[in-house]
Amino acid sequence: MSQEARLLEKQCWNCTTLTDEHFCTSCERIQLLDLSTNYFSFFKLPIKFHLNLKELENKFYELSRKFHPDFFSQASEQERRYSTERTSMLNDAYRTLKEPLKRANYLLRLQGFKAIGQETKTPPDLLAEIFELNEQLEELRYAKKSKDNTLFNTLKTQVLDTEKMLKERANELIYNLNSIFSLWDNLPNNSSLEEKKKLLNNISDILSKIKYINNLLENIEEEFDE
Amino acid sequence: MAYSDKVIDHYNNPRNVGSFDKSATDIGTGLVGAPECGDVMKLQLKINKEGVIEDAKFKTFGCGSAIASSSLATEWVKGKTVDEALQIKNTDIVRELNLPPIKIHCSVLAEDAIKSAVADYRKKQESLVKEEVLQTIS
Repeated sequence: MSQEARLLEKQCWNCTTLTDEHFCTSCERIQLLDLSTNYFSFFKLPIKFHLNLKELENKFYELSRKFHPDFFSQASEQERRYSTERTSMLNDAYRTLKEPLKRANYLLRLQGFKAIGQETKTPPDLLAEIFELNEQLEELRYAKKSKDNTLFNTLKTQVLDTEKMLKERANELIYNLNSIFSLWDNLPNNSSLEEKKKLLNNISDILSKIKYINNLLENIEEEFDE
Repeated sequence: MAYSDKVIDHYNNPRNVGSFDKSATDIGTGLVGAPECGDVMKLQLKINKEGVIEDAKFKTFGCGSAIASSSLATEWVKGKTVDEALQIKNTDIVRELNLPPIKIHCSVLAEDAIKSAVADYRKKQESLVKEEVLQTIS
């Protein structure tokens, strides 16, 4: 995009003041949502993993009020559309940023990762283990269905042990994730591409491991919920 | 999101579910996973001396599309030679099952599973040949 086009895009549609805010700094009219806006920039946050959740929440409520359709019931159709578009992005952005795992995945995508774990292959050991544990859970479902109580109780103890072990591992991985993201957040601006890539690959690798484990944990929880 | 009729059919009546002895020399096992959704898929091929796939079995823990993709893959590889089976592309699976864009990775998983099963089989055959050579020498 040419510099000129970019400038045009950031001009207020109403009074042509240059503005990069949700509302024009001069005439206070709601602005068109720029396509280059991401969830971080929407909240005026730097693209970093660690953020102040309380601040994020406050900002969310503040903006929800400002964009609320009720304020635009008398406005032009254009402004009504801008307010809906901003509300919708606000909700998506908040939902994504407030959850650490969603935020981590989103941050990686912004850095050009198409899909998590694509760069690094899942360790075969982990795959084999996850597969085996899934089979264990399947056996338990079968015992339940065929009303084999003795077998069911034995398997239940095993599965609950598995659950405990998986939760510990997930916590450990999340701890690692936090520390690697601290490195990422504090990378100096002049750090090399390789350095960045190395950290991001590491993060991607951990996220995929967490995904396998959380999937299995969800399935286990589902089994005992009913 | 609605599943296509073909996905639902494979999901309700999956073909060739099960396992072969993974240590047998005529069996190739592929175990693959999709990191973005956490699905795991095991696909096994029983291959005869002529290099023809006589039988195939799978077991998938994942969504309906992943199950359907692997079920379809086992149907397709049966009777094919190993080289023919390697020609199966994930796009063929997408077309046959009408998978939506968000589920394309399930078909990629099935293609990877075939490749990884063949690789496992070939590795076994190579080490068998090596053993035979060693025996003839000694």
